[in-house]
Amino acid sequence: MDGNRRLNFKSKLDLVASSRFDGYRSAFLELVHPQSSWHVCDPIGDLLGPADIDAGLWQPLRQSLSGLERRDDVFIAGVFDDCEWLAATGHYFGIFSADWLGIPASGRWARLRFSEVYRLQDDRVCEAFVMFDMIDFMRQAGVDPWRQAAGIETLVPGPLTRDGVRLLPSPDRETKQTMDLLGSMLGSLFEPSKQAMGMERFWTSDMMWYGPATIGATRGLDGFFRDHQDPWMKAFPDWRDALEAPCFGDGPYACYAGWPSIRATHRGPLLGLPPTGRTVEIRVMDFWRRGGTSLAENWVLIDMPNLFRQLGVDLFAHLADTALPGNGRRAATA
Amino acid sequence: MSFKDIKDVARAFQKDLDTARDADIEAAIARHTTSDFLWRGMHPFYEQKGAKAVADVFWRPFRAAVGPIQRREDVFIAGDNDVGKRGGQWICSMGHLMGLFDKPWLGIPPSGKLVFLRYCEFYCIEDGRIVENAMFCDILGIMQQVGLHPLPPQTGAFILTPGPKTHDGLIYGEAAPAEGEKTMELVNRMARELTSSDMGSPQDELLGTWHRDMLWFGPAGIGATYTTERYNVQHQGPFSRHLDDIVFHGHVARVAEGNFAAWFGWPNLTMKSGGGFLGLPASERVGEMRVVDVYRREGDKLAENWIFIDILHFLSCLGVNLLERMQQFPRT
Repeated sequence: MDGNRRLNFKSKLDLVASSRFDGYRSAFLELVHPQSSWHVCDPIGDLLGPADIDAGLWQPLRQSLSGLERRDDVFIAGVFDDCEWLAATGHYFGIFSADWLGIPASGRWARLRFSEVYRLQDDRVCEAFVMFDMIDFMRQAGVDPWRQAAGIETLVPGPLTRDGVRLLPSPDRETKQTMDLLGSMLGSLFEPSKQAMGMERFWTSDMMWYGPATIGATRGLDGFFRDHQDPWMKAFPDWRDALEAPCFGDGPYACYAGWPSIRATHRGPLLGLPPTGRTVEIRVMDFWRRGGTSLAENWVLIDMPNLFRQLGVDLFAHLADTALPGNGRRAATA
Repeated sequence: MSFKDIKDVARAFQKDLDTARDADIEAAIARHTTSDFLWRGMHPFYEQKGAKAVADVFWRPFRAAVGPIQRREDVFIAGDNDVGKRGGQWICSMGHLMGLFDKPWLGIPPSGKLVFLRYCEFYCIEDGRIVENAMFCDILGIMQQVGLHPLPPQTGAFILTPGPKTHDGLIYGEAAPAEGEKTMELVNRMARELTSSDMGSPQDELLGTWHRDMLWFGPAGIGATYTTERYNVQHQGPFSRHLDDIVFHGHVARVAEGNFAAWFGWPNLTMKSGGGFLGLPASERVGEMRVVDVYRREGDKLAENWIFIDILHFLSCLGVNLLERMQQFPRT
């Protein structure tokens, strides 16, 4: 995708998520295809057509996060399955001034971490996958629904190299190198043992893995295995392969929108939950940065509320049980 | 033996045990118990027999981590076991064991500060010796006191649990039997009415046997609630909505004296998780709930209720071991 079109899409996305300008309505209609279908994480769900997408996603978000601002850490374009795609990960910033999805407003700055992948048609978004880190957002509002994470739950940084917003096309050989490396890494990730995986062949030794709240961020392959990969494999021992899903690269960056990414059976303790024996589908969105010949950074969001709901735990209902006014968990509003 | 006599046995046992040095703990226990007395403990201690096992598994590691011990007792009563087929003379002692938390306990990192271990003990005494002892204590409460959050947010409040409002729970002499009989009759009626299905709304159900401004001091993980209305919102409702196939298995001991009554079961209840209680997923596994209730009667209704539940055991039945998880991931 050439630079002009990249800039054009980026401007429209910025306008849709900006409360500083009046251009929301026109930018939104220019961005969203009339037959657009958007798949949004729990509890929002699937939205079909501009009216639903406006009412189900953007209006509530714009009303709850006043002074809304979109901050892309990675913004890339590519081709998958003969279609043009865009993808971005970063944060929405704003003042959390009105309750959103039952999460009580804090009256203070809040950031909403996102990963988004867009399929384009007729120069508009005709399909979108939008995932937020809902639990990170709840935590900022003072209603953390989960236990202490094994990793570190914090504001996740953008790429070390500060070149994640790709407004110019990347050289094809750079993209190919990234996709070849990613393919080899994913091909080995599902080996039965850590030794067989040989992850040190594909990652820098001090790689950063920026997981979602409930798992947290880890540094280095040791941290990744200890805090995420080992317990995850024990929780889902029959997890054998990533499902076919949109995946493309752009220079040293690549993304994957697994909606779902895996199907697996919950057979071991998961983040403090006992095993249920239930078969679940897990939505995962990944962004990677390659540094030289190794992968160096990985931004990962998992639709945790959706996963927990499949196991019979409704975090938004539990929020209602515990965040009643008067029991001290509602943060002060401005 | 008179109730006064068995109380003297229990108090002598507590005094010896609480002041014993590490090397003397087993002997202190042995002085007041039969050689194969049955001790019932929380997960991960479970059932033990005899002074040595009880000292090795529970008291010595706990006392090495937390000390010097102050037993801050809030309720102390005795009675003939109302559970007819089991019988026996029993004592219930409830309160906190307080001390400085200076060494790790069960993998919980020490704070160097004082902690209150909520406890409720039952002693069955025969011929001047303890033949059975149940030791309920709130391990999750210690985890919370040092800043760990092994469970999702509580529906109730996390507080240091107070003793009876009336400050009259320590009956070291003997209360008039008629008062204890009234209390026993009331708690038994309350339990019958709560489990019968032809009652009206939860509020009507509760107000027949409870004062409107009742206190429900639940275990860490659930928390404490105040008033029947908020008890229903913050515990009774979630409990009945999110747990299925609840079966009552009776009590091991049930005693009342004066305005107080206490019971425990092993387990009192079994159930399945329907998803949502304690943030748990739905499960086909059967969980056991070992529960203590201590009640205070005021007039013809109940005013306060202290509850202990072996939540770690319940969770282990469902397949998750929070103490192991804490060891694997520090701070969790």
